[in-house]
Amino acid sequence: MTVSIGVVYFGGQYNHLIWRRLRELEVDANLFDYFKGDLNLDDFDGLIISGGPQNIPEDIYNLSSIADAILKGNRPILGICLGHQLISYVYGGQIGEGREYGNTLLYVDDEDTILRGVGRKIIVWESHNKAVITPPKDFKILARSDKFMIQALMHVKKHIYSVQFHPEVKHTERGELIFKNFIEVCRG
Amino acid sequence: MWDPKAFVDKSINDLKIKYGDINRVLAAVSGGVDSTTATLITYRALGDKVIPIFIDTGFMRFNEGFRVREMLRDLIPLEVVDMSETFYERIEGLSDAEVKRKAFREVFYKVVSEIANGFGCEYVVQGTIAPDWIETLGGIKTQHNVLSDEFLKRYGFKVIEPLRELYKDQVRAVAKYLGVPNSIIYRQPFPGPGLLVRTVGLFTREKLSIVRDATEIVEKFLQNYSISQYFPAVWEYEISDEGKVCEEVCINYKVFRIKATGVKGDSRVYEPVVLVDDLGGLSPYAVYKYFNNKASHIVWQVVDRGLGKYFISIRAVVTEDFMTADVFNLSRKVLEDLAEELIKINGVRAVGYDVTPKPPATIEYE
Repeated sequence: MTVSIGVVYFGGQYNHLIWRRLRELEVDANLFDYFKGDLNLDDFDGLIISGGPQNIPEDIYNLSSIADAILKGNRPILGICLGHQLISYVYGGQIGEGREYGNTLLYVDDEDTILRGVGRKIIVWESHNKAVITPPKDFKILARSDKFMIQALMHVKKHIYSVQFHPEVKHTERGELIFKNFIEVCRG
Repeated sequence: MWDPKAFVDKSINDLKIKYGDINRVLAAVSGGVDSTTATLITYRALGDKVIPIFIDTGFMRFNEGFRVREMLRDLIPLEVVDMSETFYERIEGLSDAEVKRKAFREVFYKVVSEIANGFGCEYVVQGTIAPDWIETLGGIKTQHNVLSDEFLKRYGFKVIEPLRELYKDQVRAVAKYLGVPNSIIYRQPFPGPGLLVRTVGLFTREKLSIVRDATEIVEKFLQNYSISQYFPAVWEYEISDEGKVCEEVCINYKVFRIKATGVKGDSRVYEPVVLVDDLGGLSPYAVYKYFNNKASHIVWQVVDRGLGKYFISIRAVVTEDFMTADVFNLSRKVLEDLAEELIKINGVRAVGYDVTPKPPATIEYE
């Protein structure tokens, strides 16, 4: 069965790469421009909320539709970069200043679900001006870097996952495995 | 595995159906794998309705037009058109990166449109690939080969972009399948505005001449390493500020007066370039993390002879799809040997090695 995944597009430069990675993994991937508001979550087996140039919360107008999807939806969600911050914000986590660019050493403390099999230390690529400073309630932290403690999160009850780094870029090690793990979750 | 044959068959078929009735198509070939492959696919589909030309913008490398014509001799009949004075007149005296790129684009399309009209072409082939339009949409930079609808209307021609959905590695696979020689497939990418974006800051003919000479040296010197893209850039050795940043160690730095482009957190930045010398034992490839708030490019000094007006920065990166790029690890000895050659160019005071990945830098400077 082909898995279909919606990719919510906030204008990030790597969004197209997520779409490409999913298609390489034979997923029916669909890009949606968040600001055009034409997203219907019921059409998909899972949702990826991707990166973008906005700051949270000040630059995201009309958060309600995505916040609803994140809070009430029952389909698996993977947040990447901005998506990671957005999920944390919506669930009550705290976002603050925090910059990392380029290659970064990731310490994986818990190889649960989306990080299954990636190894304890991997090189990942980052590009963010803000970071999650305190985690939201009901989420556990899976990975950290030297600068930031919250690099990957998962909800303890729902299928919601998020990573601050970019698994879709070639320079991130085991990025494809992270997508495969998420696709497995979507397959149910 | 992605299949280039299926892509080519489908593209040729689509092009025949969509453009079979048109009169003539102009194909501006730069000799890079993108424009060459786009032209070849269109040529396969539409035959000698396609008119391939090489526009010498004046920002090309040494003898580039004739070199490209020779390389493509067996594939397409390429004509070299020298338009350099038109470009210089418009761009001389401009400094800002985006202003220069936009001015270049304006002249480039005016020139293309005039040539196209001359041949009675209604269409122009472009080698636009996916990262070109993605980065332009994100506002990171203005690519000269991405046409807005407004632009198309203003100059009155339409565009054929057969590679629009592809990434570089896929374009190379298509080129190989079409029988393009390796010298073109693996020719390192060269930006549309060419050496213009490597004469960082104020554009002058003197800087252009320096960067052209330096390019010849750097390309010969580094051609046998496995580097995806390698080139020099030149700017004035003018320092506007100095300072010190401390984390595990302290690093003294100088700030150049010019600015260069970077990409931080999905936003374009146009920020200073800093020069570092003594690294206090830190790896040169880790230094950029000290400057997350301060600069878009960090350059590690290799040689300074203390005399002369210009600085040359050597850039060498490794990347598969050009969306992210890592700095190639060149030994100090190799860098010093290369710098020794570059410092002989008239007017050059110092040479450095750019040690910034993308992000936070872009591969080019403007």
